[in-house]
Amino acid sequence: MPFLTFPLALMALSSLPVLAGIYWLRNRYRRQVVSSLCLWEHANPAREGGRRIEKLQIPLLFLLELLILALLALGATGPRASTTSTHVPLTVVLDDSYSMLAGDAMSARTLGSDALTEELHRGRYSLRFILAGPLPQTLGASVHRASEALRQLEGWTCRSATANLDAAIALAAELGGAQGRILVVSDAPPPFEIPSGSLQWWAFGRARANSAFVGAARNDEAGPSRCMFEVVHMGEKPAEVRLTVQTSTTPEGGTEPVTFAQATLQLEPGRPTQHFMEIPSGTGPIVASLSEDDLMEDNRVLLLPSPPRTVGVKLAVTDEASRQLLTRTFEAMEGVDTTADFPDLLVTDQAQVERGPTTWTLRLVRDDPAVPYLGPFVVDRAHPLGEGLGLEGVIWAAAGPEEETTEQLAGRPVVTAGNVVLVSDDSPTTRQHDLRVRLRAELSTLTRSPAWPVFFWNLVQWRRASLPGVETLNLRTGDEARITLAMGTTQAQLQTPAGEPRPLPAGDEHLRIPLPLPGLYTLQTDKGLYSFAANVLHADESDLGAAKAGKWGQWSASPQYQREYRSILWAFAAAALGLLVLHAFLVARAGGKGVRA
Amino acid sequence: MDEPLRQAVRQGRLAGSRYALSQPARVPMGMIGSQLGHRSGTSVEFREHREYQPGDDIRRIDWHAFARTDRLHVKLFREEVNPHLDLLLDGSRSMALADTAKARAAAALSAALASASLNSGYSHDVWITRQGCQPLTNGRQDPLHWEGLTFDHEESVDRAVAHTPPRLRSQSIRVLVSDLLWPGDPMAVLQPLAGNAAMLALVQVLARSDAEPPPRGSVRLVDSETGERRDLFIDAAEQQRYRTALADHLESWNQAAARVGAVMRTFIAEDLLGHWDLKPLVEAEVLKLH
Repeated sequence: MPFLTFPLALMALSSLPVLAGIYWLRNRYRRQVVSSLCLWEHANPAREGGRRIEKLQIPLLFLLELLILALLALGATGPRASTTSTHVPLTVVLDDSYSMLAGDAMSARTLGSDALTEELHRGRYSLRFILAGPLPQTLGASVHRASEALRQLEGWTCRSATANLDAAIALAAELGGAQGRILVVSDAPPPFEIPSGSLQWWAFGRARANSAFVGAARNDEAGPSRCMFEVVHMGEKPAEVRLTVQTSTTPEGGTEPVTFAQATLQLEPGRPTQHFMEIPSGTGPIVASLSEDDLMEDNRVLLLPSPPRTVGVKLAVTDEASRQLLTRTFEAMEGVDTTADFPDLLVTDQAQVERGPTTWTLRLVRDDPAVPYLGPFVVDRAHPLGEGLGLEGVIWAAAGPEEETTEQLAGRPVVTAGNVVLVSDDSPTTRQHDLRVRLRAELSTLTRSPAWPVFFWNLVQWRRASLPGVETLNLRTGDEARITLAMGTTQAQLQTPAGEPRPLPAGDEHLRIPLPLPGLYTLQTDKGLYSFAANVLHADESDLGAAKAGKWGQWSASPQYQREYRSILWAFAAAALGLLVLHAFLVARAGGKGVRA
Repeated sequence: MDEPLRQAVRQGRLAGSRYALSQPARVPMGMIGSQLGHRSGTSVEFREHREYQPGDDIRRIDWHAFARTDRLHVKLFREEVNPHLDLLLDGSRSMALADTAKARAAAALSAALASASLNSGYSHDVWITRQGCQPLTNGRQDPLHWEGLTFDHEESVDRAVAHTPPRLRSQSIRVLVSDLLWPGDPMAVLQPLAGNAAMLALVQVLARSDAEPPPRGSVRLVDSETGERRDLFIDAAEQQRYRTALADHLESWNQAAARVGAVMRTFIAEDLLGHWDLKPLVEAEVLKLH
C-alpha cells in the first residue's frame, strides 16, 4: 500500500523522532555532587536508561506512544484488504517493436521485464500476455503462477517493425472482460489520455539519438551492380557515422567476408542521406553496417543479388513482316531470350500451336478486311498490359464491328475501341494466359508509336514477374514476400532468421510469407531454392526522441478495485484507541504511586 | 589557602572576637595556675622533677639539677589547669562541597573558636585531617596567620584519626568541626577525642544541600570524596527517605556524643555566614560572651 505519497502519513511518521527526542530529553540526568552517598543507601535505583549499558531499557509508555503514532501513520495511508480470494484478471500488452531494445542492458525491454517480475510476485493475477506487433497476438494461455508467466515472457523478443498498441489494447479489453485490468508496457508515453480505472501504462524508454538505415536497394539487372543506402541521424546535433559494406562471398567464390567499402557520412539531424556505390557484377549478398549506437537493430542491412530473370520468347509468326517487327521489338529489350527451347511466351499468328503447360501465348489476329480505329480507346489500366499505355493519336487497324467473320476474342478485354475488343486476356489455367491482339500492323500506326514498346515491355515484365521465384528479394520487416512456385511443387520448407525451419503448404502457385524478423529467409522446395531478405528500414520506429519513462493510470480509481478491496482503517483506529486507554491507565497508576511505568 | 577561605577566616576571627571559651564544667579553672590539680601543673608548689621533653617550658628547667647530673630536668609543680583548645578540623572534600558555603563556614567557625580561645587567654592548636591528623601551619597563632587551610582530601575523619591521631593536650577543650557525613560508628572518633578531655564539642557544619534532599527528577549523584555515582529518580517518597536517613544519622551522632559526654550542635553553612548566630554554642556552654 502506498505510504510516502500520503501527506498525513508523512506527518505522522515525522512525529516519531520528535517523540523519541522528548523521551531522551526527559530522561537526561542532572549531575549533583553530594557530600556523601551514605544517606542514599536505601534509595531505589533508576530503572530508565542510565550511563551504564546493562541492558536496553525502554519505558513501556514510550513504546505505547510509539505504537500509537505508528498505527495512526499507517491508518493515514488508507490501508485496504482484499475482499476476494481469487486471482485478479490482468492482461499485459507488451510493446514488441525493436525500439524497446535501445540501450542494451538498460533497455526498455529489460527494465519493463524487471518491473513486471516484481509486480507478478507482489499480486495474485490471472495473467495473459499480448504481443503488440503489427498485429496483436497472445503469448499463450492465461496463467496464475508468476513462474509460468515469466516463462511466457521469454517470448517477448521485441523484433517487430512496429507496434500497433491500439489494436492490442482492444484485444486485451475483449479478452479480459469488464472485470479485467490492462497493463501496457512500452517505451513511450501513451498517445491518449488514460481513462481512470482499468488501464495502466508503464513506459521505460529514454530519449536517445540514433542513426539508422531507412532505405536500401540493389540493382543487378543492367551493367555493374549498384547499391543505394539511405541513412538518417535522429538527434539534436549532427553526427558522423561510419558506413561499412562487406560481402560474404567474393566474385571468385570465397567465403571470407570482404570489406568492400567504407565511408564516413556526415549526417545532419533528421535529414536522410543517400549513399550510392557500384559493386562488381556477380557479387553475392552484401551486408552494410553503421557504427555502433544505442540501437543496433537498424544499423545493418542485407542486400541479396537480384540477377535478372530472362523471359524466353519464341516467335511462331508466319507473316514475314510481323515476324521481323516482333523480332526487332524483343531483341531491343533486355532480359529476353528469343532462342529459348522452352519459351515462357509464345508469340504466334496461328490459331493452333503447341505449347508447354506454363507457356503464355500472344496471338496476333490479322483481320481482313480491317478498318482503322482512331479512338477513343478504352484501356484497362488495372491490367498489367495497360499500365502506362497511351493510345492518343494512334491508328489501330482491325476488323469492323459488323463483320460476321470477326473472331471473337475470349477473355478479359484489355483494350477496346467502342465495342470492339482489340486486346484480350484469357486465362485457361492459373499458370497460363492467352493474350489476343487484333491488329493489321501494316495499316496501323501503333507499331510506330511509343505505345508499341510500352505494350511489349509491360508484357515481358508481367511475364517475368510470373516466372517461379521471389518477386522482390530485398524487403522490409513487416512486409510480405511474394513467391511464385514452380509448377509441380509439392514440398516447401521455410528457414527464417530465427533458425527454426517450418513446412509450408505448397499446393498454390503463389506463397505470401510475412517477414517479422530481419535477416535472411530461405524457402526450400522440391523444385528449387528461393532466398530473400528482410531489413529494418523504419524511420518512425528508429526515431527514439519521443521515448520516455513513467507510469500513467491507476487501477485503484476503478469501481472494480473498490469492490475488490475494502478499507481497514477502522482496525488501526481501534488498536490505537485501545493502546491510548492503556497508556492513560498506566500514567494514572504511575502518578499515584510515584513509580514510573 | 585561597582568598575566599582567607576572607572567611577573617570574618570568623572578627565574629569570634565577641566571644570567649567557656570554662569546662568538669575542671573548674581560672587564670593560669589558679587551680591546683592532681597532676603536674604550673603552680608554685613544687611537686617533683622529671626529665625534660621537647616542648616543655624552658623556664621550668632545673639548672641546678642539670649542674649536678648533666641531664635536663624540669620541675613539676602541682597541677594547674592550663586551658587549651584543640581544634580538629575535617579537611575532607565533602567540606568543600561545590556550590555551597560549607568550606567558608567551616573555616570561619574554626577561626571564631580560635579567636574566642585567644580572648580567654587559652592556647590553641588546630589540627586538620590530611593523611592522618596534621597540625595546621601557624595553627597555634592568630587565625589571621593560618596557612595551608584546604579541604581537598578524600580521607574521612575516622580514618584520619585511626591513621594518625592528633596529639591532643591533656584536659584540653576539644572541638571537632566537621559535617559528620561518613558511614561508620561515631564512637571510633569520639572515644579518642573524648579521652582525657576537659570538654568535647562536636560542631557540625552542613550545607543547605546536605540538609535538604535534591529537587524531584532524574539525578546523577556523585560522592564528592569517592567519586562514586548513583542514578536516581527523586520523587516525594525518595525525598522523605533522605530526610529520615539524615535525621537517623544525626541522631546516632547525638547519642554517641551523649555517651562520651560531648555536646553537639549543627550549623547550616549559608545561615551561619549570613547571620553569624553562634547562640547554639553559647547555649551549649562552649562559648560565652566576652
